[in-house]
Parts: sequence; C-alpha cells; structure tokens
Amino acid sequence: MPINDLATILPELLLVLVGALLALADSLAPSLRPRFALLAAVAVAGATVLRWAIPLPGRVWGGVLLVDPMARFVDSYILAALFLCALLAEPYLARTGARFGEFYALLLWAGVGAMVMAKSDNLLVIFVGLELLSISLYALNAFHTGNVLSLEAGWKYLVVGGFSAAVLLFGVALLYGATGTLSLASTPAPSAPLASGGSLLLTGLGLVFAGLAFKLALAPFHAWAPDVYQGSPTPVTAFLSVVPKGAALVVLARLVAALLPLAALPRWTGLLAAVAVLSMTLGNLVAIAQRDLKRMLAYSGIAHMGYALVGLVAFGQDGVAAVLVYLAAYTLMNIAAFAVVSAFSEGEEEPHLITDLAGQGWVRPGLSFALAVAMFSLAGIPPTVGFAAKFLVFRAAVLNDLVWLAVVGVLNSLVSVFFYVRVVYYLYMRPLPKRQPQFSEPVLVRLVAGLCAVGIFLLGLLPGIVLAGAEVAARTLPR
Amino acid sequence: MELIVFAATAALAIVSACVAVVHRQPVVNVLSLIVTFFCVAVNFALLGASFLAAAQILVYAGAILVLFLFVVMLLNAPVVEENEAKRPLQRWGGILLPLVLLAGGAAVLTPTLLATAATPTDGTAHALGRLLVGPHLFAFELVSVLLLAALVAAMVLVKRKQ
Repeated sequence: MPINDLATILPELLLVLVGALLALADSLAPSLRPRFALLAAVAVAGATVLRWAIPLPGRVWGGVLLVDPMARFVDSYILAALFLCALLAEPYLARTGARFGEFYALLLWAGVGAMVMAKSDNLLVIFVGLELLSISLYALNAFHTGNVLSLEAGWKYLVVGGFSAAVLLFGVALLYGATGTLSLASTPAPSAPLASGGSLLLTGLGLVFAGLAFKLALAPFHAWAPDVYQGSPTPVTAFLSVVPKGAALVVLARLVAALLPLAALPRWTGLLAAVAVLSMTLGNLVAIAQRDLKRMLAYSGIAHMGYALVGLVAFGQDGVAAVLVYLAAYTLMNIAAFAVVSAFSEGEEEPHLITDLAGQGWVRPGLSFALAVAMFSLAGIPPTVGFAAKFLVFRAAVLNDLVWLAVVGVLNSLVSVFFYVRVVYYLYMRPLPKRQPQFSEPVLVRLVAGLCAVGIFLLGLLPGIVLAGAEVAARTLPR
Repeated sequence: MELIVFAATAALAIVSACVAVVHRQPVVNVLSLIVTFFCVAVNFALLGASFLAAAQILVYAGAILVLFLFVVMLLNAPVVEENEAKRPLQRWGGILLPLVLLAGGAAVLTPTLLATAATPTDGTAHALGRLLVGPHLFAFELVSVLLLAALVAAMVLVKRKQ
C-alpha cells in the first residue's frame, strides 16, 4: 500500500492512537485522569482539522474507501458529536467515580467505526466498521456497572446488536452471491442481466436494510431503543442517539444509490416509505405517553429517523442533501437535550421525570432555555435548525411527487409539538415543587448545552452554511 | 457423493446449532456447538477452502470451544431453570416465525440457487494470505482495532470497580 493511502485516513489513525494512549495512560499515569476529557477533545479537534486539511482523492485503499465530500461532511458531524460527548462525559465520570481512560478510548474507537462506515464502498468494511462501533458501545452502555439499568441497557444492546449484525451479514452474503462483488459502486450496470435473477438481490437488500434499520431504531426494529436510552450513561446516550444513526443512514444512502437501478424500483421505495411512515407515527404517538425524559427522547429519535428516511425515499440530490442537513440538525438538537438532561439529574439511578422539571425555568434560566430551544427545534418550529431540516426533507418529497409522504410527515410534526412543548410548559408554567431537587450543573455540561443552542439558532437562521456543504456532498452520489 | 456429504453435514449443523441454543445444560450447549463447527468445517472443505477448514477445526473447535468447556466445568455453571414467567406468545412466535421465513426463503431462492452451482476456489493459505494483504488489507487492519476494542471493553466490564 502506498504511503499516500495512509495519508487519507490520518484522522482515523490519530483517533485510534490517542484512544490506545489514553487506555495506557490510565494505568501508567493515573494522575492525568482529570485531563483525559481534554486530551480526547483536543485529539478530536485535531482529527477535524486533518480531515479538512488533507485533499479528497476519492477512491483509495484499492477502491475500498471513498474519501469524498460526502465522507468529509459526515465525518465532520461525527467528530463534532464526539467532541461534545467527550466534554459531556467528564463531569459524569467524575461524579460516578469512574474517570477511566478506557471510556474515552472506547468512545474514540466507536467514532472511528462510524467514520469508516460513512466512507466505505465495500460491504465487508462496512460490516467491520459497524462492529467496531457496536462493540465499543456495548461496553459504554454498561459502563456504570453499579447501576442495574445501565447493565440492562448494555445487555439489551448487545443481544439486539448481535442479532442485527447476523441479519446484516446474511444479507451481505446474498448480495455478494447476486452481484459477485462486495463493492457497492461496481455492481453491474442496470442494463446488464444479473447473474442469478433479482430475487436473490432483493432478499439480500431487504436483509441488509433490516440490519441497518435496527441501528437506526426504525419501527418495527425499534423495541430496544427506550430501555437502552434510559439505562445508558447520559453522555453515551447522546452519542448513541446521533452517531450510529448518521453512519447507518449514509450507508443506506450509498446502498440505495448503487442498487436502486438494479432492484425493482417501486417495490423498494414502497418498503422504505412504509417504514418511514410507521416510524414517524409510532414514535410520535408513543412519545406522548412517556413520563421519563430520556424515554421520550428515544421515541422522538424513532420518529426523527422516520422523517430523515423520507429524504432517502425521495432521493435525488435534493433528497440526499436534505438528509445530510437533517443529520447535522439532529446532532445539535439531541446533544443539547441530553446535555440538559445530564445537568438536571440528581443521581444516575433516578428516573429523569418530566415533572421534575417543574418551575426550573426561573431557577436555572440558562439550562432551561437551552432545553426549550432544543425542544422547539425537535418540534420543527422556526427559526431553529429543526425547522430548516424538516422543510428541506418535505420539500424534497414534494418535488419528487411524494406529496402524500410530505403530508403524513407534516401531520406527524403537528402531533409531536404536543409532547415537546409540554416539556417547555413544565419548565416555565408550573410552580416549583416543595422538594427542591439537587441538580448538579457542571460547567462543562452547561458549555455544551450553550454551544448546541447557539448552533441551533445560527444554522436555523443561516441554513445556507450547512446546506451548501450538503449539496456538494450529495453530488458525489450517482444518479 | 459430495451432495450427500453436504446435505448430511448441513442438516447436522443446523440441528446441533438449535440444540446449542435451546438446551438447558451448559455443557451440552458447548458440545453441540463443537459439532456445529465441525460440520461447518466440512462444508468449507467441500467448497475448496482447505486452509479455512483446518483453521476452523484447530482454532475454533479445538482451542476456543475447549476453553469454553473448561470454563463451564470449572465455574460450575448452573443449569438454566425453567423460566418462572411462561411466555407462550413469544415461544410459539419464536418457533413459527423462522418456519415462515424458511418457507418464504425457500420459495424465493430455490430457483436461483438450483441454477448456480458452487465452484470450488483456491482455498490454500497462500491464496488466503494474498487476499488479506491485497484487496482486503484495510478490513484486515480494521479488524485489529476491533479486537483491541473488544479486549478493552471486556476488561472494563469485568475488572473495573468504581
């Protein structure tokens, strides 16, 4: 392998190395433990700079990786999420007495897995990247080993993750059997007759889609999400709710772009549309009934992946660009929400009840405002980035003759306003309870929440910044 | 002849895999998993992947599962009790759903599978090595990161006390 190929994955190499160093430093230099978060964050910032500094050669490593604008776009927000989650984790680990270097090592490696998935053109590499992401997350979910809920989260994610990996692998095997190649881009041209009929291809495609849908927590593959979200340490939940979904969505976009001409078109898009509608509807309706903030955000995540999938159903360049903007928006809103949840929690064992927020808007104005901004953005109310993202997705659907899908999406958004605004209602319009909850409000967590809130407004007012990047990225996909 | 060997080992592999999942005695689970791995190794050999077949028997059936067996016996793993909460819906659903999938898969895939015969490939260690450091070099290197992550993850969960 030429040295040039190594240069294209410098950000990933940096993160892998720093992860390993942090795991080593934990035993060699325990006095450095309070600085681990900072070191990890600096490494992530360095990786981001590297990603933007090195050129984009396209296909490298013998055609296995695609270092293109799409990869750079997705990497950027994976790295942003990593940065925010690393900062978020420090107070949590300090509080639970688990300031271990391994936490950051696993976090960084999980990020590397997602980054590899996002730029891979080879089904095998996608699978290995997915496993790197998942295995790191299994341990991170259960990191709070003293807490039964955390162990339950790790266990559930392990079982569901293992099952979905098997389904995905079976699908990959069938796709390989149907096309004779593991590469997505070099699948036979649409006009060329398939080696062995379309049924093998469609079955394989269906299985791969099911495997990815588990990661995306799309209905009907969503059942793990609420328990895992609730039980995991909150910084891990923030990471888990954003990064695997982004990576899996990009893989799905590349898959659809490569195989759409081959598969029988109406059947395939019909399947995607059905899953999108089911996810939106189920996520929003069940979220209404939730009393725990983290569980509510889990169901909201299911619904949001449904919205994002609408962009993929529409496809075309505007559809893919809309999905990318959606992912960036979703990252900011979700991390802001989880940062505030993390600050508004008394102990990790306690449930994070929405009713506990009563009256906090006047006692803790900064954090409450950040949470309110995140909720309005998740609901899709202007001038937040959530509105811009939803608008782009639904516009792509309308432009591609899928008006009914856009209508279902808008109706669902209306339903969702109820439970998002209910949180704001509790914050500002309910009296303080007699028992004053002892919230810990670490500076770092407030900083993260503030950064996200500013980002939500900034991108909401000037969506062109991120949209321009997304459009360049979307142009790299064929069709 | 090959077809008979294939059918016999494939059927045995499936049956023993089911036993490995369902049986309540941990020792039986591990032993039947060894049988599964042997049958899979035979299938590898039928496809011409002789090195992989040997590695499967030497490494997986021979080393790893024997280690499992030791652990199960040394730790005196308890027999899984009859579940306190019976879940008839889940149980019958769990039996019915794979059968439906099997029938569907058979109906969809049989015509294409009959039309394509497996062609034995060059499965020597040399050919495998060339693949690993050739087209699959990146995946190969990524697997080493994956194994490191798995190792660290296991140590964290087992050894770390907060």
